Amino acid sequence: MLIVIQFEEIQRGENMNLMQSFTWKRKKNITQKKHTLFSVKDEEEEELDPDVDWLTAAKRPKALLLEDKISKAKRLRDEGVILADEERWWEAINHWGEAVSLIPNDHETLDMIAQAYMKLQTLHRYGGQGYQTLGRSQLGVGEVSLAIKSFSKAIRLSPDQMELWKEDLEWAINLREKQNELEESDKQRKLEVESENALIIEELENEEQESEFMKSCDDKSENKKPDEISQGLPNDKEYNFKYNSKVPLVRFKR
Amino acid sequence: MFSLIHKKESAHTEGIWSCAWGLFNPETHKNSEEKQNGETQENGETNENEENLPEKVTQYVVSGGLDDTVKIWNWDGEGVEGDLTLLHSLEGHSLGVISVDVNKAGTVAASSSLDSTIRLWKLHEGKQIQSIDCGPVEAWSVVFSPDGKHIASGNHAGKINVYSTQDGQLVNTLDTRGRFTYSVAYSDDGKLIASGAIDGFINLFDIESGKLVHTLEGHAMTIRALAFSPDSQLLLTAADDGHMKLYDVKSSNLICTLSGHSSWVLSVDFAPDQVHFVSSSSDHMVKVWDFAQRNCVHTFKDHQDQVWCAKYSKDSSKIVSVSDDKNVIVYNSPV
Repeated sequence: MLIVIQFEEIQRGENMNLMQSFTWKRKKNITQKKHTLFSVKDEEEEELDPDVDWLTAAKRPKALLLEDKISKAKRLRDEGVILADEERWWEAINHWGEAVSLIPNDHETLDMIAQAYMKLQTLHRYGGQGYQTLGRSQLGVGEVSLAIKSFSKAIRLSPDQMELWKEDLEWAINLREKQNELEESDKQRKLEVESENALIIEELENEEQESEFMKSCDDKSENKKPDEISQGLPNDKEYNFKYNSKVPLVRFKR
Repeated sequence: MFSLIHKKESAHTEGIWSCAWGLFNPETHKNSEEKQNGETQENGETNENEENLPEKVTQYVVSGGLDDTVKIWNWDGEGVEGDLTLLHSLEGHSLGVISVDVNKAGTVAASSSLDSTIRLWKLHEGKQIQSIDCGPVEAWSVVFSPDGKHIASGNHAGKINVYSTQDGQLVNTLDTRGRFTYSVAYSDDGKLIASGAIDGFINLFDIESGKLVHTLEGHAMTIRALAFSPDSQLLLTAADDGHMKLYDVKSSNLICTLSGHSSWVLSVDFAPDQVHFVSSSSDHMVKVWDFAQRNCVHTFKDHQDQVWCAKYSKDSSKIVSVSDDKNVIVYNSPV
């Protein structure tokens, strides 16, 4: 009996050891999967430990450890889609918002954010916060005037949030002004370029005319030459002078 | 019969945040003008003004919203029929228009905007008279005093700023020592001014002495609107908790609490004959209440989005409401 018990104990011990080492590994994976799925807290953990892709709950190969912006945004987007399928709109919006912050010009993701807000519909019940988030993501894609409208709506609902006035709205208005300035300077630049072009064209035309004039002069002189020569002595001197004066120039150039 | 008379769809290009009625009567205007001329000696100016005023009784509706514009409409109607025609679309504000009001004489409209300016407009001509730059976050809801000489607006620090309509100068400041003042109302006798704060406190001031008379804390949430009864005896408040409360002004006692809206109550207004009062809410509804019975007598469900403002006309027979769904609706209310 004793032997049997001891044997069992040993077996159990061995099993325990085996189990411990085994479960410890598995537990890590399971808990991480759960955490990343269900609570915000684990996003921090995820950031600390980016080795685990929670969609597959598997360790990512080392080669992919350095997750670039695009793939991270894509992952966040896919996660958001899954959350949205489960009608967890706010979490989906958070994920998409993060994705948008990585790739600011992602219109599809912004559309999805807007749709999620539409689904929520009772946006005003959350005070200005919903519109504030919406406005910020609109600023992210450069939709400044839309963002101003969203911030205005947010302020209309909760005007005591100074952050909305001092940071969001003011910032958006500054951006709008800069945008307008840029557009104006663009216009001016275009006008300037156009006028410059016009000047250049004029100059070119003038030059053309001048060169034509010169040409015609040359032609005339060329045409005249034989006549002048044939006409006799008085013009010969002039011709020689012209000819001589041209020679040193050519030499100098060489 | 309570009924919808007229619905102006897409009256603004964005959500509409505020509305007001204006009634101009040439006869009463003449009388008051003569009185004024007797007191002050500004015959030249007032006569000039008079030339540009309409010759017949005119009813205006003024609306303002997120699209930065103030629109002046002419209400042309008799009985249960009528039509809104756009007189002027006023541009000048660079951000959304939070609130509008019309003076009692029906000649001047005031509008306040997120751009922190209050602008005064001539109703008939649609011209800007005055632009008051209040400084950052100093202008919120704007109201005319009953005599039309002042306009009041709450600010973020809990103060009520009173401006002169003549020159736009700040003439008085009443300090509630509270938080953001969301709503302001004058009593009809011109003696009291009430303010509602974002944290639910209601303050009553005596205008002449500038002293705080009462502080009421009936609601724990934002006071979106206040209205004195036409006899200046009672104060009606509306808040984010979905309730309305009726207070006795003299004793500051709570008379009753009215419930019916399933969401924030965004505006309240008394009919001048004191038979009814109207409320609007972000549950998309406009409710008409009987003053004596203190119960809801009719509910209008014609808006598709939150109704920011509902107001009674000066003859107590019409109600106008504006909403985030960009529509302006005029209802009939039996006198």
